[in-house]
Amino acid sequence: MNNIVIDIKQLGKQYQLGSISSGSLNRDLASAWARFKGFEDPNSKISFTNELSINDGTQSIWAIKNINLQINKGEILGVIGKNGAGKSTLLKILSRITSPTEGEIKIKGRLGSLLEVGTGFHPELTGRENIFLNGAILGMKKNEIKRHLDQIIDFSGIEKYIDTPIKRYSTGMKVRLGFSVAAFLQVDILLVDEVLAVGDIEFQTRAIGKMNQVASNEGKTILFVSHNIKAVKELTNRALLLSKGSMVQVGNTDKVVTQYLNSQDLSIGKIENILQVDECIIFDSITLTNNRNEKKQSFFYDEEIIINYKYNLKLKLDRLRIAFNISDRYNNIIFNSADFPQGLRTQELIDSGTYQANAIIPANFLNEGTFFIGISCDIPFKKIIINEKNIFTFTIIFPKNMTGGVNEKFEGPLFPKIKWKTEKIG
Amino acid sequence: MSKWDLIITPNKSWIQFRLLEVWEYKDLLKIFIKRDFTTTYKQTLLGPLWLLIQPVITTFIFTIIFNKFASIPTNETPPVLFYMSGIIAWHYFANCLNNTSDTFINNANIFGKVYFPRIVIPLSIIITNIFRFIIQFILFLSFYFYFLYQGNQGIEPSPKTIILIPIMIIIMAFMGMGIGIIISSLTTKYRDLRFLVGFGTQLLMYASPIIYPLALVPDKYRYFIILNPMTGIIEGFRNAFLGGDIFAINMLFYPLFFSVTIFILGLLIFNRVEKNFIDII
Repeated sequence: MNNIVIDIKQLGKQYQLGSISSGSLNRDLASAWARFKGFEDPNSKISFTNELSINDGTQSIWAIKNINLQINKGEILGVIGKNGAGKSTLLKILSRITSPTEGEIKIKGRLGSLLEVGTGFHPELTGRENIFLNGAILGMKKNEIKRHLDQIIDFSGIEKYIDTPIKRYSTGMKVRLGFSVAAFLQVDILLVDEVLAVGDIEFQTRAIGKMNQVASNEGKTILFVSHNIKAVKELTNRALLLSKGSMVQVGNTDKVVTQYLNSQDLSIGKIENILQVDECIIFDSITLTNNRNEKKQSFFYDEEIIINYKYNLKLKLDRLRIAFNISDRYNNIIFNSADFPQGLRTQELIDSGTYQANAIIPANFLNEGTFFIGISCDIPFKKIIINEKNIFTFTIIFPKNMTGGVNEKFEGPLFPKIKWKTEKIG
Repeated sequence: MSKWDLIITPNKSWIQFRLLEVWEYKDLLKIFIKRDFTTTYKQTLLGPLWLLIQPVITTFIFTIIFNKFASIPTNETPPVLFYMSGIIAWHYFANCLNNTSDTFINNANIFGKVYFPRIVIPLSIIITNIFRFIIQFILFLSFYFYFLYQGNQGIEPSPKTIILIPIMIIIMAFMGMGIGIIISSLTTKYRDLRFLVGFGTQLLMYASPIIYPLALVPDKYRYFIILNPMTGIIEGFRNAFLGGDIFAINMLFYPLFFSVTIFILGLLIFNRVEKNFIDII
């Protein structure tokens, strides 16, 4: 049985750096003159650092390389990876916005790409006119658009304003209109990039539902590129993980997502700064694990989060306090915690030696979302040894069985399990 | 059983026209033309009337300055018709050139998000301009018949040349689009060229027999003026309605050859650039 609709072989895309052109004829001539005379190019880049720029001195990078992939009909494939992993490049090559440097892609059926919602919308035209314009740009025939016009308008939920120029629309309305056109795109293969990141939650839910429905009912093949791990998990069964332009893994979405989350760097950069800061204390390591001692960056709601400190005291100290704080993604501290409760004073001296301290953040406590951990360490009322915000970042996700597939969000950083008791009293 | 509909490869060849593909996108072409028409005159006081005002005022000014002040003769023909015929033909060419020369820069956003044959954009521009030209041409005809009715001397239409008018329009379209897409391809790298275009077409206008008849150009300079491929077209266009001057049909051979050459060259460069320009811009 041959159900393959996209066959990618040895695909690679190389970008030239610096030497493309400076953008002005004048400066290009100056560069050429300098090269000719053997001077240093006056327009060369002085320094260029980027994860991608690790190369062997040549002025080029491979945005993606050695991609081999086959996608079956009716499949929804998720593509994940960090920024700069090559996700967008892959999508751009597939949608023929740019051409590959090597390799080959074979495609069966009509292909449409949705890299942006409402591409080509003209502010002076009405909603209705823009449906035709946007639809045509996306590759729809006029009669196809006509046939679906009522459905498109209906799905957008803005029929009242459909004959108003869209310059009077809010951003949300434009997104709704754009997505509605895209939802009725008559193609066999659809490439989707991050577009669900825009729009309000209610509409996002409908959009995801629509995509799901489209794939299962109409047998469309969908390539879904996203940072939104949650959406990828909900929508896809198979996923591709890219890192620095190469394929890391392709397979079952749950497995690939787990690997992706685990492979991410736990610290966000500053941990080296605090490990060795003081003459009296050295931190060997600070890690984030679950109760099975697995290093993680992404925790389920019903999992404990353990911050594990290993440190070495070089001197005898009369007091020492190790603490952490958790802040939400807006950088507001939610709470503090320390191994040395406030107000309590010990008279005992703390011996030098190697110590381990565990702080256990209870399960069923933090709400879904991204959090930051700050670390501090001091000798109370005497000396602050460390006080660093945002050493770690981690995310909490609701397990699938808990949400039951319903995408409901609750406000606030905490979502503790509260005991409720409801009884009929009359 | 595998039959692939589309194969994407690095594509290093220069020659690859997908004309059939443009036909697939004819709905898009139509909608771009419609968009250009409806949006240009939205929120303007006079709307499409501007299409008529521009050539009328230009003709009026040319008549006063070049004919009355500078006393440049216009053969036997009425100066108004003489200038207007040149102006509307020239405007068509210049608009084709100017508008297509911004293809990549103006549409970088769309080109970066979705695929369609890029050539649809310049094609829609020259077709939009044909409609504008037709409106201005009707304006010219109304002036023309007015002067004819007045029994003006010096209007000797030549039917042989009138038949060639559609060919002249096509030559201008090809030439304008050819030069325009070459410039648009180059401006992806060199933004400076954009300044040259507006300025350059203006200068070129003075090297075309618009404000003077070719017959008036001294022999030693005439060669340079004829080197301008628009010269034959302007002279032909004028000769068709007004007669006179030194037009001969073979003066159209050079513009025809030039426009076909520049158009093919333009397509080659455009094809080359469209594939990867999004990496540069």
